[in-house]
Amino acid sequence: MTSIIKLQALSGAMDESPPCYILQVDDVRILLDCGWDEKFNMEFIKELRRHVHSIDAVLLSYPDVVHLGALPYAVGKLGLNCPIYATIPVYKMGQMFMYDLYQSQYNMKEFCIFSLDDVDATFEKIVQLKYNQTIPLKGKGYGLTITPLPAGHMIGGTIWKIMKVGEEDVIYANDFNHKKERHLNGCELEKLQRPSLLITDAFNATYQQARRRARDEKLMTNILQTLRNNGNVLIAVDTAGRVLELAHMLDQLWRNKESGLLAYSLALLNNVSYNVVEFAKSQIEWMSDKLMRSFEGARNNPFQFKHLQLCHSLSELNKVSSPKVVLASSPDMESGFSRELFLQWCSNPNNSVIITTRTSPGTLARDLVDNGGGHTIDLTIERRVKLEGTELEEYEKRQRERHDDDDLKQDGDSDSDDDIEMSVISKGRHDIVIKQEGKISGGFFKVTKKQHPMYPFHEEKIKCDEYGEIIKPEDYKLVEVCAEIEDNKENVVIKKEEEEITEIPEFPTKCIILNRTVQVNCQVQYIDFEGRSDGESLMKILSQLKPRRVIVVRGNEESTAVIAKHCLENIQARVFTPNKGEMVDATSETHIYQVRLTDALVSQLNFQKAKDAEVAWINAQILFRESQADAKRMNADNEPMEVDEEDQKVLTLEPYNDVAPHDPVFINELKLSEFKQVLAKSNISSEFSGGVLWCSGGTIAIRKVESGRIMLEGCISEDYYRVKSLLYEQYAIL
Amino acid sequence: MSNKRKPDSQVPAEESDQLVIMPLGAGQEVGRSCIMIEFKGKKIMLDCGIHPGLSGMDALPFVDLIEADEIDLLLISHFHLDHCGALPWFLLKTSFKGRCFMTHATKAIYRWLLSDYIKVSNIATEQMLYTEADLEASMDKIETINFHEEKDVFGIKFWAYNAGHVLGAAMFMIEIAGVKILYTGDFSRQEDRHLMAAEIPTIHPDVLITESTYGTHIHEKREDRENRFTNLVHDIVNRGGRCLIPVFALGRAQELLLILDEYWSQHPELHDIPIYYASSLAKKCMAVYQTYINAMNDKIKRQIAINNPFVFKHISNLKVSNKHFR
Repeated sequence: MTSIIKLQALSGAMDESPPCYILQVDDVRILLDCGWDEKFNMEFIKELRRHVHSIDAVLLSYPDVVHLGALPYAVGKLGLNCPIYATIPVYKMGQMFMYDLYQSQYNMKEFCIFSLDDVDATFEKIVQLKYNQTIPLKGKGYGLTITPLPAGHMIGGTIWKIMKVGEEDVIYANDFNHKKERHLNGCELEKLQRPSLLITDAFNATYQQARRRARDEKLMTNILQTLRNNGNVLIAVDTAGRVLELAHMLDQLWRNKESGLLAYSLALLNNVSYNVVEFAKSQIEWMSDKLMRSFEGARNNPFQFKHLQLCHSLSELNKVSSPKVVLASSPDMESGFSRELFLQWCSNPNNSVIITTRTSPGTLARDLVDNGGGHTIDLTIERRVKLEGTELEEYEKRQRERHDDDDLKQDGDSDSDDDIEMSVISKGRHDIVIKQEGKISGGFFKVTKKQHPMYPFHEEKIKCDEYGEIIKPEDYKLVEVCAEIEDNKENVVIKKEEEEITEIPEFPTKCIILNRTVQVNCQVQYIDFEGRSDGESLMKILSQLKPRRVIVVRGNEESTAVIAKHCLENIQARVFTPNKGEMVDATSETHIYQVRLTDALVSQLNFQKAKDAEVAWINAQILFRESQADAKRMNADNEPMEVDEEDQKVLTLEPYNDVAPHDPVFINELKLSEFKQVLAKSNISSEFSGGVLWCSGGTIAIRKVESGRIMLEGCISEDYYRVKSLLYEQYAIL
Repeated sequence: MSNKRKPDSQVPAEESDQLVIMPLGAGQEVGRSCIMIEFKGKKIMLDCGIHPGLSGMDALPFVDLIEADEIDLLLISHFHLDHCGALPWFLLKTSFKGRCFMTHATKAIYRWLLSDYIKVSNIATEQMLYTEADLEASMDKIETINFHEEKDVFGIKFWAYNAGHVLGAAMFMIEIAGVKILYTGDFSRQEDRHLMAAEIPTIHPDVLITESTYGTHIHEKREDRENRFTNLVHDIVNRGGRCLIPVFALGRAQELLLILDEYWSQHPELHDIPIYYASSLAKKCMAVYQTYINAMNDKIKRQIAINNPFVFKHISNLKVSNKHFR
């Protein structure tokens, strides 16, 4: 491969932090995934900020927060502006993940790391692809193509193949699953024989999975026992990825009359459960062959659930009769309904909590996996509550005062009735017309008491004066709110109740933070529904795939070392194990350098057209040159970026005129049959006989000799010279 | 490429530059689409339809002109009978052993459309080309391809573009040794309520194989046509009449249902007038329309986030035993 290939791990190297890498192929920088952890680690963002403006494309593998969580921040707050590529399900479900995450956070505190607008802006940038659809990158990425391949694990999950035209391929495969599941096919990574570079994770290198059957039985037993003891089961799952497998499996279990489950209830609880299931229904073509066949055969949509009830709030869930099994997001139990339910249910020994995936260390779910139940834990509880009693009265009083003020102001210009039409035209997201929605945007999926026949749309009259619309300055006061939040966080240490009143027309609320010590009496069990290949199969796949170079990322040091050793010993691959922030050079040719052509040289070049390209002969010498000050790259804040020492010395090609003239070079691989057509266009008759092209009635012979040379023979005539010049025209001559 | 060579030419098929295209049906006629392509030793069949006006073996394309076992690849553009009607017969009753592809939606509807065709064919059993069991068995031999997904079968590279026309309808771009052939099947460049307009490939094909059914026909503008339709229906029900619309159960019928459902929701005064579709086939395939949203236009794809447009509010299915219809 004659391209310079480098990989820099911004996150997800030598540990289990979310994946985020920059792959550099010559000048093109591709961001591979852009995940964020449950705690919104800002360290990683600092690193991302340095590179955000140099990124030409983003490739996403999965729709979950671990793989795309930081994108809304990167787009909305850091100004990432480049096409993002993902499959259709990753696009749809990714949106669900982010909406759910936002709403879960919003239900706990004043959340302003990113807004729903940022989420929408991010997903607008996504180019939606199908599996095996090869797309050429545009602009700077000219000559590079990307192809998403099925990866299993989650719907739409992708292994990316990045190809430089006419050269070898880079494969980015993480978290893939080779096993067939109920709703997904396994990946077929091993079919991509001998890629020149494989970037893969070591997350599961030392991990052994229980057999699927044993695992399913364990889940079933746990559920049945708990329900029969009159307890509830909480299953912590993600929003729109692995939940599909579990939901489908449980609904099928419930359909089985002998299972004895019919007496109990089954519910799916997250902020977007209706939409998740609707989208799943319309993505059958992305699912397993078995599901697809059953749909074609019986027209039963596998996600048309019979027993699973969809809930969007705790009050809806309360209407579902107990004992019940609840699938709730998020899997880490740091936010969302799973945390709420855990707090409600954990003290009762009849209840059971099932954790389905190993989330980042430090999260509540991981703590429970590692330490089990039966002990006490200290938890910080953040919650948004409605204002009550005196607080509410106070708030309403203030509202009224403000209202009166507004009325007074508006009295002057309430004659602008004819502006109603404007509200129809200007539906822009930031327009003041929909400020009602804007304010309760957090409550987008929340169940409001007010029942609307369709999406709530308040048509509001726009007030105008000579200067245009009248705005309320407080609508634009987001920055201040943020600052207050930070205060809030600091106050947690003092264990004091802090409150922040938000002004939402329908529900005045405040956010409270309190610390609580809870006794975990309920059963806690970790049952692996991660849907990832385990260590043993990982090694097997690697041995079959035989990549020539491997970059091992994401996995603790031990796992990384295991994979590295395996690749070195069994498939003789070159292995790289970058640390966080480190850049590795995986260029296959060892003596490739990037050189800069000087202007003096370029202006001397005499380009000749040859098919799709232009070629020129170069006489030059290689020199080291200090890079000029003006060429120094600036980052967003107009500060010079930290450039490595090596970068400052640039190899350049300088004109070198001290050479003897060279023999002319003819460039083209001429086919006589093509030349025959050229001759025909110029009205010269010709025909083949014994591999020789005879022209002008047999007076001129053109033949191809073994060395690839073309021989032209014939009597000197006008035609001879015409044929000769036509022949020369077929070549680029340097 | 089209150098005329003598048939007894010494050049082996793999090296020959000759591209042979032979219609086995739908050449100078409408119906039983079936086209053979032969290039560089690869043989591809495009569509395998029946002639709707004929029955039994007479309706088949002229497949006796070719050797079925030499065909590498069979592509089906959409689910209409004149494009896939002979497929179960060809897959099961001939020596064909190549691979067969169609889009997901086409495959799902094909199953029920042909099942219906078997039931309504009013001919003797011995004349039947295939049975329900054959049709069922043919499902396992058909593979699916998503739009824009690239496949490579025995060195033949091909992918599908949206063709409009009916749900799942595809145009195939086939590439053999760098030569590209585009087969459009039936297509429509008019975006309608649920389907997108046929895509125009960004890549230039070397050879284009296209239909010419409406080659001399100029369509009325979509808006005018729809207005004429809805006004007529409105007039009829307004004067107390009943309106019977005879349509083929699948394809355009769903578009008409969308038009009527939308018109009804815009006209509350019509709400007490019921709309029925009296087709068990359409009912069977409604789930397919509710599912393969991704093969439709952007409007529908956006709407799915709010509600499924194929869950009608004013239209219901009319069961045969239903006594409403008096």
